Amino acid sequence: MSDKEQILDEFYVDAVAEVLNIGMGSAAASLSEMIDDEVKLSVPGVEFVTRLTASDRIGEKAKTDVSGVHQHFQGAFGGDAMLLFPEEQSLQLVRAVLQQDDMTLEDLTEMEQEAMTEIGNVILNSCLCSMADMFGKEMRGEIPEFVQGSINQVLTDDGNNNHTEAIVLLLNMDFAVDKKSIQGYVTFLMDVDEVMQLKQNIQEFLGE
Amino acid sequence: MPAEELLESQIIFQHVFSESASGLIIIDIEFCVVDCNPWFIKHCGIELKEIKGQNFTQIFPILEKSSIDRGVVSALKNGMSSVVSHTLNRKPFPLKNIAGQILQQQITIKPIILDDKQRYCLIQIMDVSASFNREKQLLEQVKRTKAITRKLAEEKERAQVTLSSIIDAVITTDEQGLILSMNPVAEFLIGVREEDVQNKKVCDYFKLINENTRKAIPSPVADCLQSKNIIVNEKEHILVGRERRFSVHDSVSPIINDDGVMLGTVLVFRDVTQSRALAEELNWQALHDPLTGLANRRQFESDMHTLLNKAKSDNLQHHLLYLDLDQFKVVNDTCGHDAGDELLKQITTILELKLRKSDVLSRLGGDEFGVLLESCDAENALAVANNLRQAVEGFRFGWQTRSFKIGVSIGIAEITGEEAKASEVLSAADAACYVAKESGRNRVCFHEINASASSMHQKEMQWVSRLQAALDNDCFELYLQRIQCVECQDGSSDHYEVLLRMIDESGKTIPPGAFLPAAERFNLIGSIDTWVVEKVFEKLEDLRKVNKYPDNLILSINLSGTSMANIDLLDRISCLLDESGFPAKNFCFEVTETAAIANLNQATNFLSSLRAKGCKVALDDFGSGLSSFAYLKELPVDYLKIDGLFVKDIVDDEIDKAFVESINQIGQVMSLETIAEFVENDEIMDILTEIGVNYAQGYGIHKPCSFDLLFPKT
Repeated sequence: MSDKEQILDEFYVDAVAEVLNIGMGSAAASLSEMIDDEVKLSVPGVEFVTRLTASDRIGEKAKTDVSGVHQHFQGAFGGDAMLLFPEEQSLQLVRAVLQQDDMTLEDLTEMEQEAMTEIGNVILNSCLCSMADMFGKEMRGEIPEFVQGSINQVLTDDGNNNHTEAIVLLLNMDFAVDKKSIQGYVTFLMDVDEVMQLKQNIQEFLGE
Repeated sequence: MPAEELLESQIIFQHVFSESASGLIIIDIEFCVVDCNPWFIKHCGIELKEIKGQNFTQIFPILEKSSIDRGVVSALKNGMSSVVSHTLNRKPFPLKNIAGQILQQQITIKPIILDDKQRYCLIQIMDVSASFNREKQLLEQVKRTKAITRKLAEEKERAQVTLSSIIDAVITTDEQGLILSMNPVAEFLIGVREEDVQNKKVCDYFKLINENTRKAIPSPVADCLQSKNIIVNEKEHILVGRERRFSVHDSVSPIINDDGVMLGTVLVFRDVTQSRALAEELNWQALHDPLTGLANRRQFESDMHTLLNKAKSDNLQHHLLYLDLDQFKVVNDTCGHDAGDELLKQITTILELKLRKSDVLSRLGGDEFGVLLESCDAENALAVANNLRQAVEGFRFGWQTRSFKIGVSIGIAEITGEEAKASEVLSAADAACYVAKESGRNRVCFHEINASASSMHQKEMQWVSRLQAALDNDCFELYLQRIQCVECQDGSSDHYEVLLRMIDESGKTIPPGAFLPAAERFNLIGSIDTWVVEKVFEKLEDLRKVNKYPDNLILSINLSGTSMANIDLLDRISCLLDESGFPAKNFCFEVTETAAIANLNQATNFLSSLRAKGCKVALDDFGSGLSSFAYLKELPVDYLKIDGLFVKDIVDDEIDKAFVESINQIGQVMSLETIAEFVENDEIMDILTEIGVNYAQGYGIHKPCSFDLLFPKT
């Protein structure tokens, strides 16, 4: 049995995907306005998986470290949202957004980390808001933080170790800016209870 | 919470709010400013009272539709926290530092939700100017470093390509002389691979030796490390590598940094093997005869000069031999230059076999050789010379179907150290050689050094004046030697060869061998010829006056090669004949075969004219080679005088006998009469009779005798 069948019916997942795509559209509009250049965001795939599977999936793409933004949220349901990129992709993203192709360092600088945090913050906030709108319920996002490390470190040492049986809502995300296409992931890390909350919210939204 | 604790908490919170080192603004659901802390007031330059309760975008119109505005909306409406980064934010708060510059800001916006009605948001503004500037500097520094690194890498690449392209071997070492790198040429010369020798001692893989002494040369790298000086060497060094040797120029330069610390060395070798070999080859060619490989005249003179200087300081005797081949011209002219060259090569081998290692044999000219005998007294020099002469005499040179007997005339001169120049000794030996040649060839002749004479030069100059004086004062005397008819040995023949003697100041008789070479050299020979001719006519005139003019007389007068070109002499002879009325048949003129061949056309003309007058002509010293028969067709002659060299050994030497037989036969066939010279005894005479030679001449028949004694006027 696959993860998503075990966790949530495909039907629900499709609904979530639709809502998240709306959120991404809003985020893209905000980012485009911010950097005065067209930014396109799309979510080709949404699935519910275990933390381990999520780690493996992202690990396939990110042979080295990943970096990104972590934001805790609560409200209609709670968890930890993360926007993650393979290290190399995060560099490309930030430098494309900042239009600094001649940047020569191999790591993100402090200022770049901050910019990355803002970009992640815009995307995650949009996702959360779109879901809050969908459910007609309050969601609260905490102050985002920049994270960096191996995918396992990032997905487990996130201060949510108590989510032993954590479920991950995993979004593949394409980020197109300045003629570049950058692949990243959005994850919503939740424990089983919170997933049940999510499921209930969806059911309410669908009028079931 | 008890009221006291609450109060205390409020006071603490108020302090935190006031003392915070970042800007704090609280905004209510109506987007109006509830409060802001002193830090914010200080930097925005607006009074608190003008801010409080006002819509924040109205206070700061720049913030309308900004990221901050969006963040505030998101916080108040959606409960979302936001970060507004410095880098992406183009519309920051108009906050300034003391210098009036806008602060670089990092802003967080967080919702504060007490209940549905009481919603606020907290904006926190942090001044990141310091971080921003630090990072800006860092990035610039990184950019510069990268540019330098790239340039260094390019320089390194260029240097490495240069090193691998140049033809010099380049080795770098560290300050201990351990190898850091070597280019491909160095790898080739030393016969190792760079990776195998890195960090190994440079002196373990090759050594330098002096080309001449073959002694090892101390490592120039060690020298350089010690002295810190550039060491350049262009002397004859040989690099002995693992597999091969090369002639090299080498240099070592120290690498010293700005602080004067020795970092290592650069060792450079230039392979000069080819150029050095070429230079040696050219040098060798300049000083050697390419045909025989012997030292040439230049080298010989240089060796003589050295020996001359040595002779001045040591008390040893040294001698010089001057060798002139007797039959070379004949071989060369009749068989071609290839034969002549081959003869010279073979003769060289023969001579070398008879010499000591320390003796210097050299080819001085066409068929002339020189030998320097160091530390060799006169007796030994004579022995060596005779050895050489005999070796050549015993040699037969074969070319195709022919065989030639070769002779060599050798002059010996002593090197006393008193001679000013090497050429003087050479002239002396040359003169002695000439004497040897004139005395019948295949001989050795010592140059007589007058002990009192200060130098050869003076002595030679003396000869000029002595000869001139002798000519002026008639200090020559005519001698005659009978030429005997072999068939009619009754003594009735009146055929004589006219010989010449010089009477010196003390009245002593000097043989021609002593003065003729000088006469030839100083162009007095022509005058002497003329003197002899005139003297003969004068003597005969004297005899006629007393009615003693001999009937059937034939006088053979020798003429030199030089005279063959002397028209005046020809006229003089003609005139004397006409004036005297003496029968021309009474006169025979002899010219040596060598002289005639050397000036063949002139000799032919001269001798033809004489014969036209009715005089006889004899070819002297004939038969040195069978090939000389070829000339006979050209030359108008009556007599062939067979070279005495063939005659004197005719009794014991079958070959010599065969030669004489052949010459005689040819002569007879060509209707020429033959005369044998050097007939020293009856045995020779008997053989000559048997062969059928027409005439004989020699000590065995008649010893030369004064004209006046033989034909006294009274």
